[in-house]
Amino acid sequence: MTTIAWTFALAAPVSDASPTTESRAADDERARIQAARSGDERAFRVLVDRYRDRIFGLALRMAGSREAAEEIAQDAFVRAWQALPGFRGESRFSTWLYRIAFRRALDERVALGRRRGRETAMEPAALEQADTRGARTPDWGTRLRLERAIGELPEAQRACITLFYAGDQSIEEIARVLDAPTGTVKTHLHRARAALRERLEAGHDS
Amino acid sequence: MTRDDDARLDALLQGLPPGPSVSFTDDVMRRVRVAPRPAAAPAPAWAEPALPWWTRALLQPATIGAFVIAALFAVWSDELLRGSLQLSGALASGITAAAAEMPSWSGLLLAINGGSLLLALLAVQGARIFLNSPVGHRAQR
Repeated sequence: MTTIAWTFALAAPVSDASPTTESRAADDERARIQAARSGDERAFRVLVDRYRDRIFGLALRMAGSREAAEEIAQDAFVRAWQALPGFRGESRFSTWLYRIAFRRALDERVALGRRRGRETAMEPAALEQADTRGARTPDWGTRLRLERAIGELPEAQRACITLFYAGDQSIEEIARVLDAPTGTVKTHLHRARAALRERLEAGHDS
Repeated sequence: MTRDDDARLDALLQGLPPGPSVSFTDDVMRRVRVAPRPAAAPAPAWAEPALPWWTRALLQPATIGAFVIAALFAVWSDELLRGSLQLSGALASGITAAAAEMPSWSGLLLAINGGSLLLALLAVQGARIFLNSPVGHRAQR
């Protein structure tokens, strides 16, 4: 009998019904994506609320101005809504969304570059405006210096830094967003960190 | 730069720049409402019905089987115990009789096959536990 019980215990499939918080959140997101695919705008609204800060953050660092970033981020979500029926789940939803936003930001940069004749750097005004969440934090000065330093990085490094740290994307996912080899992504990250370290140190010393 | 400085830089980089306008989501949804959209493709395989995790666990065949056996033991424990002892005895004498007629190396072969089956079951179970753990979910990303 013990043998039978052990055999059953060993053969019993462990849940793909695991009650971890992460799997419940993933299940919830899958359900919302499926609903949005079928045209449920309320489900899509929840997804917009969930990802708006991250997508806007990427757009702001790519575009350098709040107005352009709002336009890029809004366009990205609208394009995502239109393309959602074709989303096959081969990547995470966030990766797919970032890819749309990144492509949109590149299109904007090309258009802006034609008008300005140079690559877009972050406008300090975009950072110094109080954010919608209110009071400045104690390390606000350091953050401002960091954002200025990020704004001076080449575009690809800016994107990699944002996606890796604030976007919670893996190297492979960033490669998918940028449509670049993983080795290139690692190089961008390494150079970006080195440049930021140098600029922050220079900022401390001055 | 020290390791502490590196850690501080990493922590600072985790933060996002200031967020979008308060009306951002409303503006997006206003545009979504009028945006043309192709018809939805058939649902992909990963888009399972959103049943709660405990429902899915209960519907597993092995779970149902375990409950059935537990119920049988609860209701007919004495009879089942007597019956399983008789069956075990019959099987044991049958095996003993058969073993007496088999070559000496057959016992080792049976032990190897039985052990392999047990190891395979343990490996499958271990893999499932890992893949469903938080570490496993991260590894699958």
